[in-house]
Order: sequence, then C-alpha cells, then structure tokens
Amino acid sequence: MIRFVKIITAVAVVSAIAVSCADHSFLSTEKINSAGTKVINSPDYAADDILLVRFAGEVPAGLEDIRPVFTVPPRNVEAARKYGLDGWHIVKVKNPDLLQARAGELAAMPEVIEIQYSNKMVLASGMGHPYSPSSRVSAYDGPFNDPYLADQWNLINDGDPIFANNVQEGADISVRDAWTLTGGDPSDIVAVCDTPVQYNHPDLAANMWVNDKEKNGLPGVDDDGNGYVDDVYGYNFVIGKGEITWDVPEEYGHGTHIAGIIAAVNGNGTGVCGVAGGTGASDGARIMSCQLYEGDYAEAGSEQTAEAFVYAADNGASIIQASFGLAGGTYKSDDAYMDAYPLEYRALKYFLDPSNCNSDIIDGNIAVFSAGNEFQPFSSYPGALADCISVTAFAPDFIPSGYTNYGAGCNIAAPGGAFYEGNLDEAENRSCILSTYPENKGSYAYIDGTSMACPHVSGVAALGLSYARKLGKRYTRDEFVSMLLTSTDDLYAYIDGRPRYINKTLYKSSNIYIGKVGTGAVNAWKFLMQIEGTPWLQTTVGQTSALSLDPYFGGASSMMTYLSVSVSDQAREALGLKEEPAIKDGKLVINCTKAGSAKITIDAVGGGSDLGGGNATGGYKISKTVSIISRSSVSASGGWF
Amino acid sequence: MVLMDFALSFAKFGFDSMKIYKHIFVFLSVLLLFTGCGKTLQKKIVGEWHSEPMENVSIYAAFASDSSFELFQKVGDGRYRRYSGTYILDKRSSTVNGTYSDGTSWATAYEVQYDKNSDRMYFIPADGSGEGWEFVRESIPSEVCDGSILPVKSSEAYDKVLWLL
Repeated sequence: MIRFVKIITAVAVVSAIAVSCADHSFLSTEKINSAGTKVINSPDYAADDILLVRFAGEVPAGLEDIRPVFTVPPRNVEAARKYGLDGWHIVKVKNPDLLQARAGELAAMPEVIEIQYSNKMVLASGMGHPYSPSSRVSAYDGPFNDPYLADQWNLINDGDPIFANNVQEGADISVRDAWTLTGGDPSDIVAVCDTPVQYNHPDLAANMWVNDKEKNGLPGVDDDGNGYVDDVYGYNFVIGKGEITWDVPEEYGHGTHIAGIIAAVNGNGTGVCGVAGGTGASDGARIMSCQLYEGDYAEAGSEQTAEAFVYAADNGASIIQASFGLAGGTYKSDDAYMDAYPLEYRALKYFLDPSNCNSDIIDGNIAVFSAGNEFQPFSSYPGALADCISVTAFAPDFIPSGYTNYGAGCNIAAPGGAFYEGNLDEAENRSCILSTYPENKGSYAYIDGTSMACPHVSGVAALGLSYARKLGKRYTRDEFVSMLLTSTDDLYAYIDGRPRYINKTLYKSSNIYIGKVGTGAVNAWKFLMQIEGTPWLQTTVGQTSALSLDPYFGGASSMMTYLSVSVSDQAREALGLKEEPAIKDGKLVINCTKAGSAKITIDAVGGGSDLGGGNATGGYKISKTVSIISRSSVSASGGWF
Repeated sequence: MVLMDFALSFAKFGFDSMKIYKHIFVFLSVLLLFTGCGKTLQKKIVGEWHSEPMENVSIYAAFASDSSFELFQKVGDGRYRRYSGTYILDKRSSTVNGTYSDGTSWATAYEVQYDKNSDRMYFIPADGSGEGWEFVRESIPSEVCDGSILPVKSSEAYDKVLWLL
C-alpha cells in the first residue's frame, strides 16, 4: 500500500533558538542584529550538507559553494519581498558534523538575515498494484468511450459489489452528470508537485501543459526566457533540469497516477477517465509536472519544494496539487509549521497571493493537499494550514478509509479507496483507485491513499473554474473554496461502527470518523449547481421554521459548526424579524413576521469545529450568503403553489 | 347539484310520459350545457403559463386536460426546479387546488380568474393569506424544461437532485 510522504522520524517543535512564534514578520530587521534568532528552525531532520541562508543585499565576498535557492528570482518581486523570499541562497557544507557550527558562523555575519535547515521529506515505499480489466469493461456503456471507466468506482459507483462487499451506489464524486456541463478547460493548469508525470503517456499526453517555446526551441536553451532551460512539461527540481525523469527504474509512478485522476484524457477510446479530462475534444484541464522526487525513497528538500511552488505561480498554474506532507500530528498549529518550514510556507503564501493569481475566474490560486495516511486525529501539514484544502479519503462503501487522517485541519473527503482484506479474494484491488501509471510499469494501476483522494478535489476545482468561465461568473477565492467545500454528500450517514482494517489489522470502529473527515464527500455536480446559483430558502410568515441548510452548506450541513448568523437592518426590516435568526441542531431557525425577501450571512467552519490559523490547527472559514423568502403560505414540497 | 334537482323533479312529477320526456330533455340540456361550461373552464386553465409573482421569482406552469400539472420554478438563482402533480378545479367556486407528486398539498387553494381573452390568469389565495399573482399565457421555453432539475426541498438533501437530460 502506498504511503505518500512521511517525515523520517517525529519532529520536535522549534527550539529555543528559533524566532518567537509571535514574530511572523517576514521582513523583520530585528533578526539581522541578533545572531541568536537568525536560525529559524530545527536541524533534526535536515540535509546535512546544505544550509539555506537569506542575505540582505549582495552575498558577501569570500563565500564559496553558494547558489541562489531560486533558479531565477520570483517573477513578482514585490510579493517575493512581502513574503521574505528574496535573498535566499543554498550554502554547501562540506563536513556534515559541522552543520550547526557552520550555521552559527553564518549567523554571526551581519549580511545574514536568517538561516533555515533544509528539512527533508521522503516518499515512503509502495508500488501501484497491477490492473487487469474486470468483467465489467467489455459490457460497459458509459458517458465516454474509455473502457476502464467501468472500473473507476471513484467516478461512477453503480453499486456493483465487485468494488466492495458493502459498496454504496453513489459513493463517488458525482461527476457523470457534471460532465454533461463541462469536462474541464485547457486554461486551467494544475501543478502536480510530486514524483514525475509521464508526460507522453497515451492517456495523459493530450492534457499535459506544454511550454511551446521550449518544445519548439533549442535543447539547452531557455527559449521562453523564464529562466528555466527546457522546461517543456514542467521542471525537475530534484536535479535542476527540465527533464522529467519518469522512466528511471526506481520511479514508482505516484505522480503519473495522480495526474490521471485529475485529467486522464476522456473520450480517447483508451484507458481511464480523469475528473477534468475534457470531453474528447482536447478540452481538458492541463497538468504541469513539478517534480520534487525521483525514485523510491527519494527526498525533497525545503528549497526544492519552495522553488516548485514559486515556479507554479510564475508559470501559469492556478491549482497546486500536492499529495505530500508531514505525518499527521507532527505539528499542531499553523505557527509551529510555519516556524519549522518557513521557506516552503512563504513560497506557498507567494503562490496564494492575489497578485500572483493565474485564473481569470477567481482572485487567488488554490492549494490542495492530502490529509495524510497515518490514522492520526490531525491533518498533515502543509494541508492543515488555514488557507489550504486538506483532503481525507473514503472507500467504495462511503466510509472513511482506515488509514486516513481525520480531525483538526481536515476539510473535505474524496475517494481514496482501501484494500478490503478477505472481502473480495483476488479482486480486492478494485476497492482502490484506478488511474494511469508509467508505461514501463503497466500503464494502469491501483493505489489507495489520501494521495489519491486529493487529486479528485483538485480535478473538481478545475471543473468548477471551467464551468464558471462558461457562465461568465467570477468569484473571490474564498467564495469559490466555500462553494467547493459545501458541495458535498453526507458520508457520515453511512458510518455504522463497523471496524476498519488495514493490512488485516483491526483498526478502531469507524465511528471515530463521525464529523471529522471534513464537510462531507466532494460532489462535482453540486459544485457546478452552486456555481449556477443556489435556490432561496422559503419560510412561512408568522411561523418559526427550522430550515435545512443543505443547499448552502452541503449534505452534511446539520453536522457543521456554525460561527455566526449576520442580519442587516435592511434584511431585518424586509422580513419583519423580531428575533434574531439562529442555528439550532444544524438548521436555520427563523421567524418572519411579514412577507418579503432578504439575504443573510452565515459563517461556518469548513472541516472540524474550530477555525485554523495562528496557534491552532483547524478548518477553513466558510462564509455564505443565504437568501430567504418569506410567504404567507408555503407548501411543504417547496413548490410555489 | 343538477342531478339532484332532476331527481327531485322526477319524484315530484311522477311517471307521466310527457313529463318524463320533458324532464329528460331538460336534464340532457342542462347536462350538455354544464359539460360545455366545464370544458370551457377546463380549457381556460389548460395550457402553459408564465408568472413572475415577485422579484427574483419566475414560474412556468403547464396545466394539462387530464388534471395533471407541471411547475418549473426558479426562486432566486440557479436552475428551474421541476415539480409535478395533479390539480382539481372546483367549478362552482372557481377555485383550483392540487397535490404535488410527493403527496404534499398546495399551500392553499386559489381562486382563478381570467381576462376577457383568457390570455391572463389570476391566482388569488382562497384562504385570504396574501395577494395573488398574474399568469400570462406563454409557451415554456425548451431551455427551461430541458435544463430543469427535480425539486430540492428545504428539508431535503441535494442527493435527490437528478439530471433530467
């Protein structure tokens, strides 16, 4: 079973030499004259041969083995300075035993602002499981002519027990109907920050982001002038070259699998379908391969991850798809993560800054991360950050997968699959997620994990951008993400306390997941319907009504944590409100004394019971405008008569 | 009522053949007249109508001669929601009432009035609960029918929403 990224061992919180948690000014000049506060994270898991050093102005003469972190300076100089991305260099350390001593030496230099150890993250072992088409394939009549769609329960789950003994029809992302409205749009670029994507895979090639100037240019030349040589399909940040090394023997295909979930080419008569893979007219979302790992047990340093985020921002990606992170519970607040991984954090903020938005639909880019596979009651970081989306996993029975992290910081659930030991004999793979795989390893394979759940949400986000473009609608990022997080099915209704198994080991009752894997199971159709517009809630004059908020907050609205109900004086007057509306048992309780219509605002937590940010790990703040119409008589059916 | 009147007349005047013929003639005439009236009333409501009863609300209704109806309603944003059911015209009181296909009743019965050409129809809540609204005879645009989705009750999850294409 794939386990995506884990830190090598547990991580301690930032040591006393780190900067104060309260001081998050990226440009703080106080650090310059205080050697003790210049080293900003712990060296416990650091690469032992480099230090990341930020200089004020020019690099002092005499320093050897030094090069900038960013191959080219971030395009947006103002945003780079805003987040403290300027001046960072990689300083080579010849003797690993002297890593901390060298950090101390550098900290004493007046030109040095801050120093970060390059904390490494690794991909745990794991391979895709071989795929052989099921009996469903030959007889399948789906919306596209891609034959293996028959085996993709994550996209269309018709309740066939071949997927799982307790399979639930509809335990998918409801994309079939969404595809009648849109299949994606090439102008929406998803940066897959992962192992390499096989860019020439027959089921991916047509949906790869292609840098035409580099493709049609000269080898070894930066034809488009973006500072990166030969970055045709993305960039390999491991070796610092444009070559995406999907075909090295030890590469196990994680990134190729993820790319297929997002945008395997639909309607090409071969293989699988992708969530935003188009409608067969070369109209799918585009995949940019930002290679952070190479081969099994590969490592990605802070500088590589940071550069990938900046590259994605500077080269057109509007969504970062990142199925990696630190083990759930490693950090338990945004501040703690930020202090330990400042360079990546700042690069992520750079990507998210509105001034770097690459979308014509929303005013800021979107970052989607996996929640992690450690069965911990916390989301992994960076996904747990308040302004990122952290995705948990469920299986074909709509029950959260046994491995998924849950609890604080988890925002929404998506199909991640699970192996159901003993249930399905030789076919147990079919409970996992089928997607593209490197051709030299079988072309298609099953994997399970929150790594696989995450790209479903990235794909649905891309579908939403595409459909909003069709309708000529624009949103703030918060509005868009709020709609995404509230376009859900109530998977909690299916949790029945049955135990979960991992590798034939009994885990706890699935009841522990109730209310803790996010706002619900992502639903592409509902998301597109929210983009079209949300119907008004009707209530009867003179009666106290308890209105379900499902249309506004998703299928699990009754389980959400609501923060406030805000009513303007104008709305109060229009509806004749003599008592303040309130949320009770997950419903809006309101008593209108006169007929009319008005809008009120309801804030809620997108995943969990507390908001994230600062010294906490928590959910995304969702703010929705709810339209109320009050009439003298209302039918219980909701019809106007 | 007509039948009852006829029965009373029949009992009162006995079995005199002329009178029987006379009463049969009267009965048939009245029956014919009433049936014709019924058809006229029915015909008036049968057809497709459009109304915007208040700001941000748009309704298309189709009343069929078999007493079934379809309602396409957009309240606020988004698509038209499609409802269906059956209706009953009370000819004497000129009111219409109905039941949705999920078994729930209309909010109230409505007194129905028409303009001279029957191109406009007025629904006035029979319970006096509020002001009525006006329908204009108008074909339901195909995009309204084709793009509509099944209703979403405030008490119901979106799970029930189905794509109808």
